[in-house]
Amino acid sequence: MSIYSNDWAAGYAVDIVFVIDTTGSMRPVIDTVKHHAMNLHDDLADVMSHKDKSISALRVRVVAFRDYLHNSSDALRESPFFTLPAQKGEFDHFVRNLSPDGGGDEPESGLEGLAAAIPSPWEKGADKRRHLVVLFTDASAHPIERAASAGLLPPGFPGSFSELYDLWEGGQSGGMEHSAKRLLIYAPDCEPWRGISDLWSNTLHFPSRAGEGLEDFTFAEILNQIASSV
Amino acid sequence: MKLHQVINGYRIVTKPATTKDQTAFAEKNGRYYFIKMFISPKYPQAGGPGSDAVRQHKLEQCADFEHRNAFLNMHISPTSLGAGNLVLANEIFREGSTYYKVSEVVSPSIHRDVTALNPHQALVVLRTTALSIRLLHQAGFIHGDLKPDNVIVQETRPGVFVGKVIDFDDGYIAGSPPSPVDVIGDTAYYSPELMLYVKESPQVTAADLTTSSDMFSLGLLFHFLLTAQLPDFDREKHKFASVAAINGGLRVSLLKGPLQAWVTRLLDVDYRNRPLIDDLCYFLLETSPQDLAVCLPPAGMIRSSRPSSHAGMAEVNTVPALKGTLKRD
Repeated sequence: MSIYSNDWAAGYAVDIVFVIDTTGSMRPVIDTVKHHAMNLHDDLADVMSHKDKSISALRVRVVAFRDYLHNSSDALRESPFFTLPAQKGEFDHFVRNLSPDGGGDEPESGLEGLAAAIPSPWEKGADKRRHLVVLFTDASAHPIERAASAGLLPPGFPGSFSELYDLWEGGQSGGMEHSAKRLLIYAPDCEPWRGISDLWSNTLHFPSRAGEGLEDFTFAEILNQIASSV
Repeated sequence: MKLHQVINGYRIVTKPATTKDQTAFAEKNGRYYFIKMFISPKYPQAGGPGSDAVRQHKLEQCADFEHRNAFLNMHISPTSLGAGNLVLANEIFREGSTYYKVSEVVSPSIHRDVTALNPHQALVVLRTTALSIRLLHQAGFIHGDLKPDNVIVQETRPGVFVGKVIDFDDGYIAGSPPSPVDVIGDTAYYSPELMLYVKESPQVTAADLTTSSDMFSLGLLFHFLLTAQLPDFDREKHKFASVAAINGGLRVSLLKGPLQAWVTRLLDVDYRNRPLIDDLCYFLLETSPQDLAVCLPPAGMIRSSRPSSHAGMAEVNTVPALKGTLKRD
């Protein structure tokens, strides 16, 4: 890019993967995501501009999870990356088809959701790149070993918490550069989330009340924290 | 971090703010402090998850972090000239897997620029700021994020204002910058070589990021302190001063006389031509308030524009409204 161009500026190339618990109690969050999907790019750009940051590129992806141990056939649903704002219609279409349902017992498959999110096809080439995983759940999580030992997980998934930890921490193995990556956890103040925020690098945990669909947070607050983390 | 949490005896008394890391105010033994929780690195715990290879890599990251943070305290004596205005860490410690830094609370008496001060007062702010940077540069350390939000103008005695330099957590030892993707800082105050480095231009290597990179930022900073504006450049063509400098379009037109010449030299696109901090300190020490006064623009030419918004304030080690809101248990 020419150094004479006004576009030759150090904006952020941001990839965000929303990992969303789509069990029954999460209706408020899912409705919020649906409501804001079409304007996500402009809303985030506006918040970032107030922090003197600009977006040079924005892509979003969704990993929707429920409970592998309750019903493995609808436990995980993933989208590709959508480039915003160009593909906001496709992003909107995907999230509108998310329906809060099922889940069975209280722990859900949040760790499996993370396992699907971490090796996303992250942007590699742009400068000032940021790779964010933003997880929303109002429940604790099953040990990943349970679904793994039952043969329920897709091929290539980590079979243990230790392997999941390595996937996050292990340099380029998950495709995420160390300083580019951020994990924001909106989840109850319980295990495994408390332990993950304590042990995993580049991770922030925003505790919520269990089972209440993350009503502690407004979309504006979440957007502000995403922008602050970029 | 959480409100009311106690970490190594520090009780968190404000809701943590999130930037890259988390920051808050804390109380210990009746005194208030600024505390920062680092989200990286994280120290691997014995018996914790992860392979030996990952654990070893994290231990190396932690060793590098501890070395970098001990560097300044090893190289800068608290009795050095200017040390009192360089806000070093009171304490850096690890609790569990997480590192924390504690430093003094610095309250601004004036926000962002010194146009409201008389020339003598403004000169003291410039001198104290430069002397603090001199300490860093003498130790071979580059601040890396010099901007108005990181120089707190504080009235230390009635009518006496100093510049307190804060927030050099993302600084680095000269010649050893972080990788381009790791560079933080306010883009508006980047030097040309730092901008090229971040863009991974083949024109620049790590060896080109010297203390002179700070000097460019200092030139922008001083211009802003004295005029409440950055130097002139065509904002339709270039978004940042560094890019304007690369394209030969950065102009110091508001200042006059020797000060204009000095700031112009600080903003030289070739870092090898810029004055070093010692040179700048000597110039400031030899400049009288009367000398400074004739170099400044008339009051009517100063506008309160802000080259960067309140963005940095969340990171600034200041006490916005602690008084009256804090309750002792």
